[in-house]
Amino acid sequence: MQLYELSATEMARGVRAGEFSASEVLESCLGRIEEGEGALAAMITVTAGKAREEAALVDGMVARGEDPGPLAGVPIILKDNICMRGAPVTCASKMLENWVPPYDAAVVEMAAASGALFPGKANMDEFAMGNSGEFSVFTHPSNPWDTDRAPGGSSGGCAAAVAAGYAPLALGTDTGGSVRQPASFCGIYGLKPTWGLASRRGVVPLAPTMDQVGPFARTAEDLALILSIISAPDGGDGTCRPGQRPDYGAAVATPSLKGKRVAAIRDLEGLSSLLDDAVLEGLSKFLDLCRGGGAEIVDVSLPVTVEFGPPCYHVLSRAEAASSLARYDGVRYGLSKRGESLSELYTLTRGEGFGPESKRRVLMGTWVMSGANFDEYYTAAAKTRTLIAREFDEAFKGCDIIALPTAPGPAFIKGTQGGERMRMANLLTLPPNLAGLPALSMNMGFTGGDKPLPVGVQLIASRWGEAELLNAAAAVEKSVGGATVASLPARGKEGEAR
Amino acid sequence: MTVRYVPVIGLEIHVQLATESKLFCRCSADYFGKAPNAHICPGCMGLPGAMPILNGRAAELAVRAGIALSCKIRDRLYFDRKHYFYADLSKAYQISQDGRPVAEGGLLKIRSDDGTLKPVRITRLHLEEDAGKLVHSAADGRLEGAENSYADYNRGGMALAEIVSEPDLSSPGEAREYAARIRQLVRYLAVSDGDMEKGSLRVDANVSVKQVDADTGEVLAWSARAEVKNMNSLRALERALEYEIRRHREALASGERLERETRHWNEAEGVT
Amino acid sequence: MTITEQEIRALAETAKVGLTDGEVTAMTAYFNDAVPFCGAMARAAREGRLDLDGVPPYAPAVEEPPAPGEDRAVPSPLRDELLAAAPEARDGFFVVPRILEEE
Repeated sequence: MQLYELSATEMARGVRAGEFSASEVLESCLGRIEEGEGALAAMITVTAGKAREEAALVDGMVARGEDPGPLAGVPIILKDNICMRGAPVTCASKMLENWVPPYDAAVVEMAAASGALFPGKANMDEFAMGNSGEFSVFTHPSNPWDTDRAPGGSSGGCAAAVAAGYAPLALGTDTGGSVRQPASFCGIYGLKPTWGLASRRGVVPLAPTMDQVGPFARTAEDLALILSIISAPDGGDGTCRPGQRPDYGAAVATPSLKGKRVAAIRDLEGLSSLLDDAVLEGLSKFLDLCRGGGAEIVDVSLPVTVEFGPPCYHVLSRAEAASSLARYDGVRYGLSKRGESLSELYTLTRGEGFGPESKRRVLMGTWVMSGANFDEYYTAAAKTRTLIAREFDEAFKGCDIIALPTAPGPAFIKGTQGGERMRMANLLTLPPNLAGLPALSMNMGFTGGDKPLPVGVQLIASRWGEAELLNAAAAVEKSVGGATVASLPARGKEGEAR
Repeated sequence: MTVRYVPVIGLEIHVQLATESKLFCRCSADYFGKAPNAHICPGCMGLPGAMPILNGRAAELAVRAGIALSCKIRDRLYFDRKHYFYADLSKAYQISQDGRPVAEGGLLKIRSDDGTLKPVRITRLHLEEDAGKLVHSAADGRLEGAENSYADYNRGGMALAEIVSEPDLSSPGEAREYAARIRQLVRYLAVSDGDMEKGSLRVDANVSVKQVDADTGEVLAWSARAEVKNMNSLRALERALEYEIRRHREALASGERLERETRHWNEAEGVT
Repeated sequence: MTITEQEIRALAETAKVGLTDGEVTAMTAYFNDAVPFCGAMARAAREGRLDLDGVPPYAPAVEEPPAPGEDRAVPSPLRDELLAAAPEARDGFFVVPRILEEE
């Protein structure tokens, strides 16, 4: 057993007990990054030097008999839209390629204060828009279970990194499924908290009414550990809920499904042609395990969500993206292409700085917000979103958890997504973002064949119901086990870590 | 037939609130005469990830002015983003209260030209951020060159209350009186120092003139509304309106059609 | 409804996003494909399949409005760092192409 294979909980325990040092943990993980990057391209920036300094500090504290905290010596990979002093926050865009933020994100401050180490920034779709990693303007990340396939997106680099053992934990962001879908593609846990649970201060915004920071982990226990750190209240984010959080550690310590009502969504039956058999089998397996654990299986109906969720999300996410991305104009920071006039400076900078998907979203967002389109598209979508939120409120009167597949299928081959397929790809993950609800993806086994692929299942709870999700995940994990570290493919000749 | 010309004037007054810090960040609000960009931070510079934290004092002052103007006060504050691209705007949007202003539907009584008391209806009072400033050359000869302009964001993000009146004013004198009463009120309540020369009280006027049959009172024609800006004293406000009203009367008299437009008062030349 | 390349060019000007001719063509195709999809809700409302009457636009649920910040000015320690990040700065100003008055 190598140190990088340990869970975060085991790493912190070992470091705090002096069984091994934070530096040893870090070197093991850095070695894994070095070994994997040629094939995976999961990282944009590796900050080994910075992480080594952090590890030395932790080791110094242990040596002096001080407690570095519950994440002592645990390496955490950050998606490259989460700010960390001293390293660029590129958002996988030319626009911010060389911009170094002058602050740490709140979640980074919180994890650092608990003894965590930060070995690098992970690859992603540009400004967190995409579901394969292929909208990164740098390299395209690969899935460690089959490098011809995408790790998912937009937090694909994070998911690939945790699955490949670069670190036991990563922090991504989820606006319409960007944590959960890559978690399912890579066979690990991914959680999108309730909107307002985790601080967004220092996280590059995409759609502010939907964005949440979300953790990746290989065990439910680790997921609870990191959530309990990053969900601290933060006065620096006015939308972050004040007050005490539940004890997430307790939820995974003695999990039980007895008496829980777990619901399947009736309306998804009409969409079975869009869904791969493997993910439907994963869902059945999950429901069977819940039933076996003493849960009652019920069903709920979410007709507006299922029919209108995708267009509602398409309109609103683009409107918010156009607003969030307006500030990149080449005047104060980031890419700048000097023109003859101010207008030309803007147009040249934004023409060159944004990749194709960013341009599509900025233009569509501008279009749905302008003139006569506003009522027809934006207002209709904003009202529909209210109905979707109400539909979930109603559904949760009859159940504790809603279970559904995370993605329409397992990881797809890179370069095969587009058009209608891509538009519906986040059909299953976007509803919690629209309704502000917490949702978790966990692995439910693998497909058959010579390159087995992970299959995920998604659980949704009512607002602030993270403990409910963690309890269920931990209970089911007792039967299926935690995620295993993917073995790395043989090293390619051309492979070089960036 | 005798024809009368009746000016129809509404004022939008931006009042810089007497806070110590800006509206959504804690940069100093004491910006006047400071070195360029001395008071900037990630928040007012629109850096990605910086989040707005409302200045509670600014909200309190806006509510105080709203109460004094007999407005209905909303029990929650709502903010919107007003988007436009310009070099004085650091996020490419201004945080403002478009749909749901903090205060609405008020009234201010002024002394009209004939000495009687006249009620002027207040449409709304809302909170918003100020923009930065652009300079095109410095007084001491620095920043020379025809190819550049220079942005200073010290004023960007300053807390403003915008007080919008209904078009109830019918002469430059009444407009001046109304603006003077607003200034007196915000000073008395310590809502703002109300200094027009420093730009902490800025008046924009919407003006049009209607042509009325003096015998029947029938409205014969309206001139297209003009928005007049850049008056930095009460005297300038009065003069700019006199000039503008004369321009509208002449256009109506000669049958010329005016465009709806924004005009800037030129104090030195006495024209808009 | 068909969206023309000319409309896409005008939209790109509004959003200040430079597009090549090839990008304009591709963007037009995307719009003509995606706009009918985006109109699903208003269309369903007109057809009586989705009742949006009297439904308020969604607002994120903030049960406990945040405590307002204290009005206490703090120095701006990042000023130099912010200016250093500027593509072009001079004498403490951010430099932009010459703006003619009232542009």
